[in-house]
Amino acid sequence: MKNRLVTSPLLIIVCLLVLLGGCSSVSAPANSATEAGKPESTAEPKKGGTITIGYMDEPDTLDMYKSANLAAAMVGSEIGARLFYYDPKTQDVKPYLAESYTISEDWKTWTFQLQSGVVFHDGTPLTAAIYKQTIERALDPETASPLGEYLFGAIQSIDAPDDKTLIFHLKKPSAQLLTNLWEPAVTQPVSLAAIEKMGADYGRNPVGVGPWKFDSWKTGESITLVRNEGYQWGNASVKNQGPPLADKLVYKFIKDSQTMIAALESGSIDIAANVSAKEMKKYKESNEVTVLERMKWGSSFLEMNTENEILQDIQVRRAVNMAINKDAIVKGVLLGEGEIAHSPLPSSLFGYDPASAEYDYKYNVEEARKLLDAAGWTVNAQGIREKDGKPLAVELLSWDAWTRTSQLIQGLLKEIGMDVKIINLDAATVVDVAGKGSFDMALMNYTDNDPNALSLFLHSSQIGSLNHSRVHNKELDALLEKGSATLDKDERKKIYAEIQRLVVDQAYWVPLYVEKEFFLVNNRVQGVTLEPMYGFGLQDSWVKD
Amino acid sequence: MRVLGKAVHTNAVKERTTALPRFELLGKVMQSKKAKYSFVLLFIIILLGIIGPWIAPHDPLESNYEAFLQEPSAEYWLGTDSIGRDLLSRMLYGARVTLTVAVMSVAITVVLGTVIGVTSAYLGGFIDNLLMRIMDMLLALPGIVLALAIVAVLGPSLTNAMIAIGISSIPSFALLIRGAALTIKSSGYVEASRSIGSSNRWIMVFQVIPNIAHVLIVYTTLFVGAAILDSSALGFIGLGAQPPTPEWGTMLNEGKGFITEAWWLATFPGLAITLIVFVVNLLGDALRDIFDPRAASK
Amino acid sequence: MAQYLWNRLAAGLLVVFGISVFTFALVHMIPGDPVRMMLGQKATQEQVEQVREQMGLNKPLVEQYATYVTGIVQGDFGTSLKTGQPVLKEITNRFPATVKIAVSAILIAIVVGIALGMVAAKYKDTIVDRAVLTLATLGVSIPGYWLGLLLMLLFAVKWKWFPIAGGTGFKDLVLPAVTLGVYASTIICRLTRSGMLEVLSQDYIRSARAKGIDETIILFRHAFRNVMIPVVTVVGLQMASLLGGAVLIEQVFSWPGIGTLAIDAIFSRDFPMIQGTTLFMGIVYVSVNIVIDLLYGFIDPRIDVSQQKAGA
Repeated sequence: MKNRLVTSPLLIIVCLLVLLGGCSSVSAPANSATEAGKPESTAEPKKGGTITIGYMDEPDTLDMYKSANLAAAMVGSEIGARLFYYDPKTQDVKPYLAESYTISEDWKTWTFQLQSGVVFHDGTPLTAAIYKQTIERALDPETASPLGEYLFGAIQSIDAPDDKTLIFHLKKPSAQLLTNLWEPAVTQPVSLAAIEKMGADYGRNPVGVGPWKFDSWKTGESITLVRNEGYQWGNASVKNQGPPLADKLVYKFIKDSQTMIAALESGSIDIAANVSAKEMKKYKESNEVTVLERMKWGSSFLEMNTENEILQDIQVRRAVNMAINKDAIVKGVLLGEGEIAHSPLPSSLFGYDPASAEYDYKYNVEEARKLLDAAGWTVNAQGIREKDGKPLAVELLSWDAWTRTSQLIQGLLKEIGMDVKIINLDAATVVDVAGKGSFDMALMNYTDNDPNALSLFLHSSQIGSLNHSRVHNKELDALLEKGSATLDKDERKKIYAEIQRLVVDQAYWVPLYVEKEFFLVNNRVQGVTLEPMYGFGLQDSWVKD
Repeated sequence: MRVLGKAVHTNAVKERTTALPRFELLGKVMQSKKAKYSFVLLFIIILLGIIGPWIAPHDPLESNYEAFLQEPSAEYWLGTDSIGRDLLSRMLYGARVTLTVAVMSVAITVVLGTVIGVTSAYLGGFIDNLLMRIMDMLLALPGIVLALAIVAVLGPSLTNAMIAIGISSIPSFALLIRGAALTIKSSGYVEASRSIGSSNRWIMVFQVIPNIAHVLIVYTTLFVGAAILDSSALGFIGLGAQPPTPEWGTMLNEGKGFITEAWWLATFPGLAITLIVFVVNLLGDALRDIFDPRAASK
Repeated sequence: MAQYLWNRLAAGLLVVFGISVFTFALVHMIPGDPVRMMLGQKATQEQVEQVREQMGLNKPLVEQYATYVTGIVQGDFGTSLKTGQPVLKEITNRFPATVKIAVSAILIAIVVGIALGMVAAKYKDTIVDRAVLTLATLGVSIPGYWLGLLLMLLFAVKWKWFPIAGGTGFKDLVLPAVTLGVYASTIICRLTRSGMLEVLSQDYIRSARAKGIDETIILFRHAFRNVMIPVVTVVGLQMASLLGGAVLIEQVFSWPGIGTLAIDAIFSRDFPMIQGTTLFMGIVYVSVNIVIDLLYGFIDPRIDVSQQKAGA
């Protein structure tokens, strides 16, 4: 792969995208391997076999431009490829489908040279024109892409003068665009011929340029991918730049964590994703199973609907913030394998404001009660607060993974006289229902590689989409816009510090925690790594027998 | 899971025709060893359900943040659950919840099922046909499926679970009662009442129902067992009692995620459900044997 | 016979019609406005009206029902809100897996149930009999999903004899099928026992015994055949209760059948799918019972099925 020298503006950008803490656990956590099967790695890799991954959620669709779902992105990252990849060792963005690229002095013209010989699974060659159309489709309101505007909003227009040259003309400089372009799945080129052919069914018959080809999807059960024999454009982060070694890659959807472990034990899956700290500890010393870990690239939080009659009162939201004992949650649910979130950003992400540990709401039941008293909520005979005959009662949307956290929160809020009813739904349905604003509180988390993720959740333009809290704050909007357009690192940091202070002050959310994610890999499968952000590195993986 | 419990018991009981004088009932029950022991056991369980809140060592809803997933110990006899609540206390409160659901849902079944069954048998003709076709239709759905559909629409909650289970058991109960009532209808004294001009309603309430009382008792007992299984099944799926309510099925659901690391969480509620249903079924069997000596002799 | 078949089918259709009214009514029982629920509170009145028109919800109920039934007759059970796929397609994808465990369970139940029932009858009133009867009561009392968890813990987690949450192959099948079969086998066991006892007291068995014919031969050749009829009936009826049981057992073993489909649909508020799975299970039940009724005639030619009252 030819890699033109990085030009000076680019250096700055690279600095901007650095995600410090997140990488530290990716590169080499003290106690565990990031690469599975170390003890056996002397054996010769060989072709064939099936790698089966157990995952708790099922994608909503595999059309990457119609989903904001992590499960979908995880599968999509294997089916597709993107312009860049992120090297956690050097904390650099490096070329993948883009062979080389330049960015103009004014930051407004980005020119990419695409690799040649890249072909979609359906046989259509990847051209700059297709990439252009992919992005235009993502921005087309008709596509209703939940992430399109977030990912490509800075782009004014795109040119594709020849098959290999792709030019972005930006409305304004964007600090986030390059980060987006290495995101594992959601900026990948898609076969427009396939979309035309399949129409609405494309989401269940995706066609990309990645190392794995979509084979079948049994709803509620599994998605099967097969090796893309034509894949020759692997990036430099892996040894094997050709087709993957295993024949098949199967994602099995297993909601129940216990069933997931049992499935790993019995050999019906090779990789158990996102297992609990408690389970992980049992396998630390195992010879048959390797533990991989990664600090989550994003945080978990409780979001409140600011248009809700009760929660529109900032004092109530603050009281909720003070009533939640995050320490207990991290200790009890995560067994300490994670950290308390002070601000809406995880401490590992660029832009995190360390001062938030000082100014955030501390667990203080007395203070919370006082706030509610002052807001006119009085305790009735059942210990639930009332105001004008209406009880202080809210519904909390939750899904399987949140079972314990939601019940702890229910108990903690009861302490301050708030009645919480937990509504358990499927994860995708929670996002959907919350997006429509038909909720009071919801548990939510995100994974992202840029602090501008906050604009997805808090910018007023995202109401009806991911701005579940329906935050409509002009000051915040302006700051978020400034944050995404500012290139200077220190300047940008300051803006995000301001944003965090504002969001914490307004108490739209209760930031809960940043968890460590644990993955168990059966040593039958060798060479499995964790990609930055999410997903697995399977390019050098192979099945022993 | 049970659905057919009902239909099968039909075979066993339908042949019984002679009714015992009512005052002999208790004596007969006490004569049967099986009945006596199951009766006593059931009584103990009910007692525990009633006095549970007073003898529970901890608040069933309060988390001890220092004691998540603790093994059974002197402090927590049955251990703690995944968010540090005392399992024993939750079991005791749960007995009350489980029994309430069972009693309430069976009450719905028995009242409506008896009304439909007796009306159908006594009036016969078009009404009988219509009611029975409707019952056939509802019978074509497994009870739990019917209950799921109802809960899906009404939303999951304890009350809705009771309603769903109560309604879903009506058809089979009504069919059984109709069968029993038919035999009474053809007996001489009903004819006699009718000939002296008693109203239909009077005959149904004061002649038909008292004469099928023993059948009612047996079926009701058997349906209680089924109702407990169904309500805890809904809880197990997550569509019955909602957190933090300590209901045994719901607790099983919460415990199933921790089977390997905290065996006690799924073990005790499961045992409790099995035990109470077993006892109720034993009692039902024993009562059936008493009322139907022919079946007993087999 | 043909006349009977028609009557039977007509009665079955009537029941299916009734179920379709029920499943149709389900969506109209949703508290609040289903369109509001789909679009969210913030949708404008205009949008709501538009969707209502698209879904035909602004038409009179009878007309809506007619549309619904016409769709079903043509194999259109609606479209899943979650996957955007036709509901019937999803159901038929999943249904074979459910049939697989239901049929295996019933086979297990027949073998175990009849064997235990015969043993109990042979050793009537002994400790063996009492043990079998107690076991049978225990079998109907133990919650299937709990039994499933216990079996999973022992045989899959601890001893690793069987896989868990794998595919739908033979080895994956064993635990769910056994769990599901336990309940059915207790019913068959009781029935076999009482049937056997009745037959064994008949004159021709007594005379066979008097003639000194071997007891085993008596049990199998003479008595067993007469017990088959009630057992077959129960097997037919059990298929329905097994469908219900399967809903729960599938949940325990993450078995990709129609039960998990139905429950997932509830947690995704996928109402067309909830309607579809419910209706489909009803149709299956009715069909199985018609087939069983007809089978009677073949098992025992002495029974003239056309003399029996038709009823679903």
